[in-house]
Amino acid sequence: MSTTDDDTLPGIPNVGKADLDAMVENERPDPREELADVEADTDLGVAMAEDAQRVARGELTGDQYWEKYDEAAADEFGEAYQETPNPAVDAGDQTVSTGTAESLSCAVGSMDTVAAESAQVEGEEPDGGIGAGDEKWGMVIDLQKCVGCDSCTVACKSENRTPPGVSYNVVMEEEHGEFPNVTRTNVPRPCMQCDNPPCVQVCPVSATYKMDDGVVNIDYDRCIGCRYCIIACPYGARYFDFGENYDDEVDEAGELTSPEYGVDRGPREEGKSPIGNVRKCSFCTHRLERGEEPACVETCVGDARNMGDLENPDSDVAQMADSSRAFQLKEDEGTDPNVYYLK
Amino acid sequence: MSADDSGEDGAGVSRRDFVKAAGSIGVIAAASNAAVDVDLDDLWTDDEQHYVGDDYGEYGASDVIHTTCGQCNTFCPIKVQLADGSGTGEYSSLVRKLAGNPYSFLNTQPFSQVPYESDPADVAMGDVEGSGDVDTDRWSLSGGRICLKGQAGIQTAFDSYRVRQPMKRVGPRGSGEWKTVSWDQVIRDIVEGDDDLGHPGLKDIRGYAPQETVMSDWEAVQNGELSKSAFDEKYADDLIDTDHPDLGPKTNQIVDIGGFRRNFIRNRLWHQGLGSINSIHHAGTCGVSSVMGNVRSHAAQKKRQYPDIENCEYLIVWGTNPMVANKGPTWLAPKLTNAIEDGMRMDVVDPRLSKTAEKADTWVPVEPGADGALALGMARWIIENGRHDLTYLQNPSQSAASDDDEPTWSDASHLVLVDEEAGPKARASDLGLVPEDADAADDFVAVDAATGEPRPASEVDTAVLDVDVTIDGTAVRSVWSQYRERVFEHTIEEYAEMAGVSAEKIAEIADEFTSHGKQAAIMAYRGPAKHTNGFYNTRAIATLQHLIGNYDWKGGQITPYAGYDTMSGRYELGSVPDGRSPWGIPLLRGGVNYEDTSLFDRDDGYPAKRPWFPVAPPQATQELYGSAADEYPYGVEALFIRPYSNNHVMAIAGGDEIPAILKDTDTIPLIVASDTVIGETSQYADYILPEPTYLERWENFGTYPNKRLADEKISQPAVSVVPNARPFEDVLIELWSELDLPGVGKDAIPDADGDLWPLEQAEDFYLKLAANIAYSRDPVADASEDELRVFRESHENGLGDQFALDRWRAAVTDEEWPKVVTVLNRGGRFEEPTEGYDEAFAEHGHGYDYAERGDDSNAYDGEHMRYKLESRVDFYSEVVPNGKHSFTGERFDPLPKVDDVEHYDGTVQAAVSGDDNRERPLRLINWKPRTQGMHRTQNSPWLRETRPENPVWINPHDAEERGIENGDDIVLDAGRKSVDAVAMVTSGIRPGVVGSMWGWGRTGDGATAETIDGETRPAVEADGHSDYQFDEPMTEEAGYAKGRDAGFAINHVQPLDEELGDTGLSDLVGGSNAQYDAFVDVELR
Repeated sequence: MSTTDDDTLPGIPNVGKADLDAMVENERPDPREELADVEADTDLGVAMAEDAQRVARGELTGDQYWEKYDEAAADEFGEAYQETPNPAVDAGDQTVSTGTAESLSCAVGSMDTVAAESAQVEGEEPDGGIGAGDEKWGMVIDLQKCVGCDSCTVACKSENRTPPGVSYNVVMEEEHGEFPNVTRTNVPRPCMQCDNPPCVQVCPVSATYKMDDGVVNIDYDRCIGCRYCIIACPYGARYFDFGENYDDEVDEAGELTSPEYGVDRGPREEGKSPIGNVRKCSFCTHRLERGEEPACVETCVGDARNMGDLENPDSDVAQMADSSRAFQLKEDEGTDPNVYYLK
Repeated sequence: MSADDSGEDGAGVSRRDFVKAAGSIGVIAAASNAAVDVDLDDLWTDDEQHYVGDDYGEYGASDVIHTTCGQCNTFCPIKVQLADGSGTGEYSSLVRKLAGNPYSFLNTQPFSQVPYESDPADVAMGDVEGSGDVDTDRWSLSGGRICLKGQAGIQTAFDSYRVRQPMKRVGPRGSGEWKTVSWDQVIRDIVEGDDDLGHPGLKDIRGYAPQETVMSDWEAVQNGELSKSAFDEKYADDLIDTDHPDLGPKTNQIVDIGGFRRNFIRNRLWHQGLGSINSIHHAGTCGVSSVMGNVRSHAAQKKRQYPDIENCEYLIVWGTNPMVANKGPTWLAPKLTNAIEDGMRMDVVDPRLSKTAEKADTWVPVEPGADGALALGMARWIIENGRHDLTYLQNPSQSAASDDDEPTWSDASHLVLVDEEAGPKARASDLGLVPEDADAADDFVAVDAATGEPRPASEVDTAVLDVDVTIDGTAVRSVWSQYRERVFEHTIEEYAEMAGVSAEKIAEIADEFTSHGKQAAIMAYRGPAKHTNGFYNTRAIATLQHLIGNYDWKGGQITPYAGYDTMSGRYELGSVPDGRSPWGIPLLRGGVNYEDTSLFDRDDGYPAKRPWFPVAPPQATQELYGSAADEYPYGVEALFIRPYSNNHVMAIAGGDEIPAILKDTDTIPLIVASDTVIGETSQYADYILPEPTYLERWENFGTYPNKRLADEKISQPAVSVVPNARPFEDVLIELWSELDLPGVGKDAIPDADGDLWPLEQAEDFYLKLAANIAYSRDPVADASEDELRVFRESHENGLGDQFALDRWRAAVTDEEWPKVVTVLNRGGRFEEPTEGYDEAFAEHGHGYDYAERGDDSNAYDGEHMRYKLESRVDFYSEVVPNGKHSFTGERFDPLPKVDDVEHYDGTVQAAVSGDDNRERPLRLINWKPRTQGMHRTQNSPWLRETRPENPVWINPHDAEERGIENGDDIVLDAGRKSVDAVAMVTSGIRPGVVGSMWGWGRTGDGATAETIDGETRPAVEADGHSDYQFDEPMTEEAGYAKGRDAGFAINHVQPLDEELGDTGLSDLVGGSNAQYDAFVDVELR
């Protein structure tokens, strides 16, 4: 793979962003297959997911979205839908606008408030803590340095103790060219923690929302497992927890779980969250709060992953995300991820 | 759900099953019709913990033990984060998480490690000044880096298929049926023998007599001073064969196969305690031909060659994959990626596009086994174009070299006595240049360029390279003259043809290699070496380095095994009072000339029945089982296996032939395995003894050959998962005590004052080893009271009742203990990159990554490495031709050369310089998967799901011809065997070559059912509720683990040696098992 193009760094194939985006798209689950065994309506889910992506792209407003789906969602999800505010990722610091909320007879509130309040557990002070927004967490992944070893994938399994079939972080691999001028691209893919996340827009029960620290939260206690968010995510970064376990070959495999979003849920048990919920990368916010970067960043063998506060201009990641090498996956989706890649 | 889906199958999940918040939001339900402005506090806060909390899983130093990873043979320093004790298991503590050890430079690249004196409490809490912050620094130093195998170590320790009790076989060997027995009984059976299984005890085969006594009596027999019958009678119980006393004592028939703990088990117990010469490690299945190729190319006691990556401008990675393998990825990958980003050019020579080749500037897909041709082609281009370092090569000695600021020098100008049989190099006294008693008598001889006269090398500043003369009737020729002639035997075009690399490409990389002064280097390992011509291939590559003389230069080759004292200092751990001296012919016939043994006459000379390895260590493990079956040179009475790193059924080419040999109780009457699981090899034992995993025991794994600073790693027990497991050292101590052998029990270990200390448990040895490390060079600081407390608490947390603080303390003196704790709290000792490092770290931070590059660096001494090779380097090895091929009697070649891949009898398996006659056209290579360390990590579902099986890589050109597409089911036909596999069609492999990863096709460790005490445990099944196609090659992301038996065993389709028929091919010079030389075909299934 002798490089003839001087602008191309060795180890980084001359693969365009379109190729990478196609690679991501290719790894997404098939929407109808994904919803085939879910009780929630498949057609509704596919339509809502597609429109949620339109909202992120600015082709549809969050208000229009909920006006369009209010009835169907109420029919499908009943109380669980009616009694939660409707998220609208384009509504600034609010869920849907007050007017729309009135017309839909639904709750409205500030998503920011939700996030900030959420740090308040049992009367604690609201400053600091997960979601509070003291930092805006961002990740920068240098594709030139990623060696495609999957150490991040396994570090994540170990840190978050995710079950079989759930992997918050995977490394996609693709080959281009013909012998001997052949190259491979390794693209690690955590949750993008989008600023305009279709997964939040689509959620009929507001179980997933954006926190002020940039991280997209999943409230396992609210999640009803409809999996619409799985197909709404343009990055295929969400997984359903079917309740599988490693117990048949690893002793005490379910004994330890991770305090995701700062909540220790104890040993893994059937019928108890997060079993039956949708799951995804949380940027290891529990580790960040105790001063450690996410497990994938800590262990990255190629020194490709970087973590930090994107809003602090002096932080290393803010500068990296600002560099001419930086880009986001599927920029056309309007999702504005907080995961940046360096080409 | 879809209209056509009833949702009634087990996989269907009803959301109603998971609506749990309904009750708590009932209040809102009533209000929602009336009000739109809902009080969010009420909505989002209820009795259940929603959204976020403040439990971050905080931990401190009392939850951390620093030790060493054992998932592969890199042995990274690690940080074990313990979990709060919970559950009902037998284990003492769960492991929350594994990470790299932040005290070690091996796990913190490209940053700097925390200063050695940092308080463990500060390190655990991330409070060391300079260690970075998660919000502003791109990587903060809380834990270090480890690879995916290391991360999965938790699943090795907590593998449900662990052996939990000593087990004795029921029925014939390999029946898969076991019964548990007590430790007392198993010790008794092994010592006394057992009628049940019909095996002898060690007490029946422990005969030993010292070599001097035996051989002086044997000489007396030859002289007629002692009758043969008297000799026979005297030594009947002590010698293997009184007709062939050179075979050695009977104890040689007690054989140990183990990879590690060599200092303890091999040196102390086997050699000096038992007096058996046969304690065998993994070398033959590993890269020993590469090691030996380097040993014979460098006069110092240094082996493998590595680059000084940070300052290297051009690096050739040759047949190894340091991004995800080698020694080790955690350490090398971050250096390489940063060096590349900083402008280093890296080219990779490999028949397939490895993870390292993906990052290369130029991928050079060489023909497998033709690496020597490529290297000699490069050498020819370099010499023809005058690109070799003439000044360097003309230095014949250290003194001449130091005048040029060169730490090393070569033998290029040295003269060889070409008319003498083995072609030794001339010494000054041989040619009458100095009297025989002169200081320079043993000097090599070079022709002084100033005078044209031959002189002792130490007296010559600049030597003539090309010499072919007769001195006083003695024909001599310089090494250079012979090397040059060898290199010029073929044209570059001929070499290109052999190597499958264009002449232009050869010129390009030779040009590049010689365009950076000393700042060019080569990193080579198994690829070129694991063929029968592997030794010569490695030699050819090594001489490229000689040509530019890049040794010990900043940015050039580095070879430091820099460490701290382990075996001596405070305690003489290698010394056994009244110990035995092992002697005789090693079972694996290494380091011995067949011609010099009594077997040569007995067997009528050549060909010897099985191969001998006269110039390699006796570690050609691939020969072990066939040798036992043939009783050549003698039979094996008792075999002790530690399959950790020596699971030979899986690891040896042709390992599928081993079970039949092991099953025959007449061949080896007693087989004992000490294993963590019932593995492919241990399943044929009479007894399997439960071993602790690396997280549960002591060890001192060797240091790396590729680092610029000194370190020494210590493993200590961090948790206890199987309470009845015993480290094999402890078992042997008990056996040796029962047999009254030296080296164990009371008065076993001398300290520096000559006082004797007991050896009753493994820790008695390892804690003293930690004391030696602590006092080596400048002693470490004493642990403070706080540190001593942290030590006690973390070990109590980790080991529970198994931690006996008083016992540990008693293994060393009161004075030593606080220093021992300092070492144990840090998992070893790690040299700092600069003087005054703690201050520099606090000031510059952990991103002070140039500490190892700057002028004040401990890594360098001016423009040179601080730890040096500092020796002669050899184009011509005078050791090698002392050995002869034991089939043909031909001497081995002192120079590198192009050689074919051959069977023992000379039949060509793969030609390099000519044509071979292949029935099946595709060359099958193999490599280490990034997900597996040896054959000991397939038990991890985390690893199996990142790579569920081993597809066969095939070039589109070869695939199209056969109608094969990516992901197709195929049959791989290797002649003697065919296996099912899956095709991965990729342009990342040379046409005509196919390949796959080893590590699959398992039949042990949960891959098959086993019955213990009448209860049958089934094999591990695949995970996954769904039948999604997750395992199509290249797209197996977020997949499910397949069963432990997935894939195929690459070593079981390797060719058997045509002459031997029971094992794969061997490199007779270097000792390696050949593993990349099978020819196969593939077709659609």
